[in-house]
Amino acid sequence: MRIPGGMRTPGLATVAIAVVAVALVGVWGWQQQRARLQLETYLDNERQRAYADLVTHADAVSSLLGKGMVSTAPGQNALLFAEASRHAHLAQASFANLPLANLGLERTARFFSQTGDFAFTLARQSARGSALADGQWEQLRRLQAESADVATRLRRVQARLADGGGRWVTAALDGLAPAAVADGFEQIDSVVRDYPSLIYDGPFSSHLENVQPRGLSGTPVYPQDARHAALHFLGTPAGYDAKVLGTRDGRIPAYQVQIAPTGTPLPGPAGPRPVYRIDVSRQGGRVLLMLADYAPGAATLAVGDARRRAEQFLTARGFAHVTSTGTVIEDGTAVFNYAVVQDGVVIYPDQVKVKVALDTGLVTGFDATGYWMSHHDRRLPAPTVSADTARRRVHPRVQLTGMRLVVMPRETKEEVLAWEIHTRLDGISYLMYINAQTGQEEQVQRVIDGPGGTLVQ
Amino acid sequence: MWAFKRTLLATLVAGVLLAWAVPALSQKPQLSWGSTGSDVRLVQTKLRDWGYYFGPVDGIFGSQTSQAVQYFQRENGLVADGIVGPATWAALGYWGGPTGARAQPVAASQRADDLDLLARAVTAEAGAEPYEGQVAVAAVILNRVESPAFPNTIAGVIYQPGAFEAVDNGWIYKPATATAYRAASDALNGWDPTDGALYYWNPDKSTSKWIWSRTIHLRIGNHVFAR
Repeated sequence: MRIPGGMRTPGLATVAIAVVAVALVGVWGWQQQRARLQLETYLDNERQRAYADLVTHADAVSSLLGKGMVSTAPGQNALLFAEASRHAHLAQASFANLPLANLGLERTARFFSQTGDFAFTLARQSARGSALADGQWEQLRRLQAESADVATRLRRVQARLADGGGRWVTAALDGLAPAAVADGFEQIDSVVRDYPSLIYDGPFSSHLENVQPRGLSGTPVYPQDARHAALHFLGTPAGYDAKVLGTRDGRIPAYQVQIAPTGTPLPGPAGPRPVYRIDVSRQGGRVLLMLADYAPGAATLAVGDARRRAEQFLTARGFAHVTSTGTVIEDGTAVFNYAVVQDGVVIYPDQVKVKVALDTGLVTGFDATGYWMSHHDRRLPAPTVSADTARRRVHPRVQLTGMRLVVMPRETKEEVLAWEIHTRLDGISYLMYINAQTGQEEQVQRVIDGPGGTLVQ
Repeated sequence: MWAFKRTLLATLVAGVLLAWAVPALSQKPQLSWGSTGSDVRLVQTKLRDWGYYFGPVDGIFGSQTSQAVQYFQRENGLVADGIVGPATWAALGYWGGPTGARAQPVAASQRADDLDLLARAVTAEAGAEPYEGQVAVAAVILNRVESPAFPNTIAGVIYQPGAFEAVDNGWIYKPATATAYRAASDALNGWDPTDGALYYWNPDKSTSKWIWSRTIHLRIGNHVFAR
């Protein structure tokens, strides 16, 4: 046979090599394809499970809330509501496992959290033996109908997914939800948006979303005033200049001030000269927080000395009556937490913290957001529960190491006068809080003493 | 020639692997008064960084080092004998042989886990942002943990499918920068320059349609923040 153009017949060896190469590429490709399919199937199974769990838990919530409305025995009610709460939180967790976060469907997630939280407050109330008030029963009825509606809509999305082949994961989707599912969830989210807001005695209640600062008073200040306040706060350091970078809205509207070294060199040895950011409230011109961009070198300062620096810093800025509530030491810096003391009572909501670099003793951070959010003139009532009565609540096998009167915030931000009882068990410290008006136990916390300082959990 | 090259390559690869793996796996020797060397220096550095030791990092285990070790042991529920054995090495974060018991308290390591994950998220999401912008991104993650609209653990928030670009594309598995560690630590300690923001995005890059329905509250560096 003659090859046009005079090309040589390829040798047997060349053909063999080409065939083997093609075969190898084929095998490699087939293996890749199989591996990808396996991963896709695995991921799809995960999504399917999360979705099926979501529907199951959503169903369980509406059914348990319904039973809770009918049942009249507080003991039984406590169990039903606790169970409903658990299912609502599991529904929220399953929802978060679906690839929907890019759609911003936070209302659906919030609905499950709030329902679970509300059911939990009902469970707690029932466990204490009290029946539901009329208003609560009505809220419950509404919530039951809403959760049944959400469950039905979730089923509908599932059906639409099944019409489209039933798979969550296909290569074209980048791991995101298929369009039918995304649309379905967007619809659910907009339906949930129209539900009336849920107000009750729990941490996720709608009325807590827009808490206003209680500590700020006075007229709005100008950017110039904020600039001066920020400079003054740092003791007007030489060779530094301040400028207002912008403003922030939100709970506490504020000016964002940057304080940076000017180019001119200073006489004498150069200490650390970091850039500071300070937020100054628009109302009243108060410093809310300060952060320095500073990486400390080797620690030379003892923690006790650093603590004294922090306390001097606070006293000079008007926070004289405070007590230490915890310390965190990490990477050559110490963070000291303080709460205000009024008439010998520790006011936990009014908190400030100071960060000190353990190499030079420079104060590199300050935060009084908690203080300005909650500080106000408090009339502290006299405790009606005596120290002795409170002390008797300590478990006989637990060692009592001290006690004091405090004002503590509940999860709902409500303030409670309580006896803080310091106890120790098996080398671990616990703090127990007994309501000083009702004698009820409010909370138990565990104190973590470690190389990194003292923390409360 | 070929065979030689291959052997050389294999040796090189093995050498690199060993050099990388050995420091992590090697067992630390017991140290006491009179010990010298790089392991002593390591102990001195650790204790100095944590505020237990104020002497020089000279690699000589003398009275100051011994006192610092005893101080550290007392504070961490270990036998205060001034000898750095397996339990003390473990409390310092190194392998010094079998200890029989867990030397690190659970909560302390929980914080270390949180800090590392948060710092890696900050590095991947905001590594090029100014310091306050890095604290702000860490604060948004922690605000989400507290929010009813998001999962209630740090890992839950960070690994939520579709929530963070740097998680979806795997950048989060890169090690964190020192700056990101400081920023994550500040946020864990309660600093929040965003005053409760739940979202941030780069207005020059974001293509998501719904994100613009949020009210922007502030801007730090290249990111805008919203609740």
